[in-house]
Amino acid sequence: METTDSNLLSLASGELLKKFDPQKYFDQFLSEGVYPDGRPVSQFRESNVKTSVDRESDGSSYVQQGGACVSCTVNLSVAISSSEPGVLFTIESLGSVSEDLITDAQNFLDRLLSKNVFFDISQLDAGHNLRWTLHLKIMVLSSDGFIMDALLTAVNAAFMDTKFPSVFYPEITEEDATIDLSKVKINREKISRLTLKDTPVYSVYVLYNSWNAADVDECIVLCDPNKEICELTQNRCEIIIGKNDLIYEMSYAGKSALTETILSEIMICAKRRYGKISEGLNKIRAR
Amino acid sequence: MSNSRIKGKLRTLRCDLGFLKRADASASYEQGKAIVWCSINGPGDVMASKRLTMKMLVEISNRHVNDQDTKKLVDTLVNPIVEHAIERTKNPRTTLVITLQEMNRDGEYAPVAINSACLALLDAGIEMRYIFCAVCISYGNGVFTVDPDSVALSEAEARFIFIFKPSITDLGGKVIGCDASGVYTMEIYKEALNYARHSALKIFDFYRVKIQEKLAASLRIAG
Repeated sequence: METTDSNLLSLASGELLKKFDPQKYFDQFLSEGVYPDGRPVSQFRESNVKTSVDRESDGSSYVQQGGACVSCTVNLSVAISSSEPGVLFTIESLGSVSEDLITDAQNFLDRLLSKNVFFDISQLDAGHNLRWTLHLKIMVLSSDGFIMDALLTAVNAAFMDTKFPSVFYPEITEEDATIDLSKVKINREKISRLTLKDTPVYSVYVLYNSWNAADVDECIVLCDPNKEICELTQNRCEIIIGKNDLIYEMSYAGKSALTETILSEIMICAKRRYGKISEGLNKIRAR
Repeated sequence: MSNSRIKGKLRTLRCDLGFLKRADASASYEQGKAIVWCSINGPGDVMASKRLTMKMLVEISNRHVNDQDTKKLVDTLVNPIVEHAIERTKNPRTTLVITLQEMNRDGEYAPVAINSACLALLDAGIEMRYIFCAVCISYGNGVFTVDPDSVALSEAEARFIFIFKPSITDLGGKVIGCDASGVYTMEIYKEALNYARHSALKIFDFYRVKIQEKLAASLRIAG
């Protein structure tokens, strides 16, 4: 009985310290190189990726990464070739997810799609002067400070899962002849998939200043921090990295300086993360 | 990257401090054709509901920023950089209102706004942890352009914005903020950073000259 009481007391005092002095509580762990749950600061949380979760759509995925859960469905439509964007997306969320996170995610995804980072847009050509349009519906189910990592993995997995049926137009057309979309025939037995150029991976890092640090620029790099830790410090670095060490987006703002040493450490973690996510996605595709 | 060339240089910098008579401090900052006005009011009274017991409340508003990309830069770069630089514990239970107004756009808004804010804060005499400056570099077709205007920016493959605070050891200063967008490698990033450092030195020199002019004028009046 006494042992149980003392365990409860120590638990309570830990929770009390976390509530009243979160800086001191987290400092005990982070200065030793671990998070309170025992995860090393250089390690990312586990990811869980499933594809073909929605049989009604042409491609779908569900990703659980850290504290974020995101689902992505792809629906195809065929139309006459034009200069309109080949990929249209909407991001929705449940009430608990902040609007700022959704707006940021929209901006990131917009920029990546405008750079044609994922695949060559010519793959959407369906022949007979017709073109596929991908309609992405992204649903953010939960978040833990960041959603972009899970969202980008979900988009990559959904693109990999997308099945393109073959398109047949019965009449021979000249280049400038009018196409009657009602005569277009879709054959779902003969399918093809997208060949992805790259699977960009987003990762976020926080530069943490210990209480005991002599210099404000003396920082510990925290990989994949949760929401509570992000509230302690504003030194945040976000990076989207692709294959062959290409960087698509990088941003940092904070009180501490982003030195070359810290940047090198971040790049090593980001490349390692990219390798793991890409390998996982390729394994799913190979199944 | 040994064949990369650099073109362009920092555009002409101009600044008028204290030009708004009704504000506690102000700066009209021009970088080439880009113009941003910054006005500062405070430290002053704050409503009880917004009052922070241990530090000063800093409210930053960026007027007429309509496009999504610039709004994102304002939220992730401009506002945090300005806020972090101010020593907020010196004036607790007060508020500092900073208003940035874009008068003319020619290139990126964020670096011009950041430099304007720093000059206005110096004009106000607000205690800061460090002064700061921002530089924009663009990269395209193997060529770096320092402080690109709108035309150069539209042709760029990648765009880098670096924010520096002064340092004795690092040329140009230490990087306290960056936003890099486009398709590039780490080598391109490092080369852009190197060019930005040289421009940062010139901007810090410009701050020194402007404040010396202002203080010299004040001493003449006093004398």
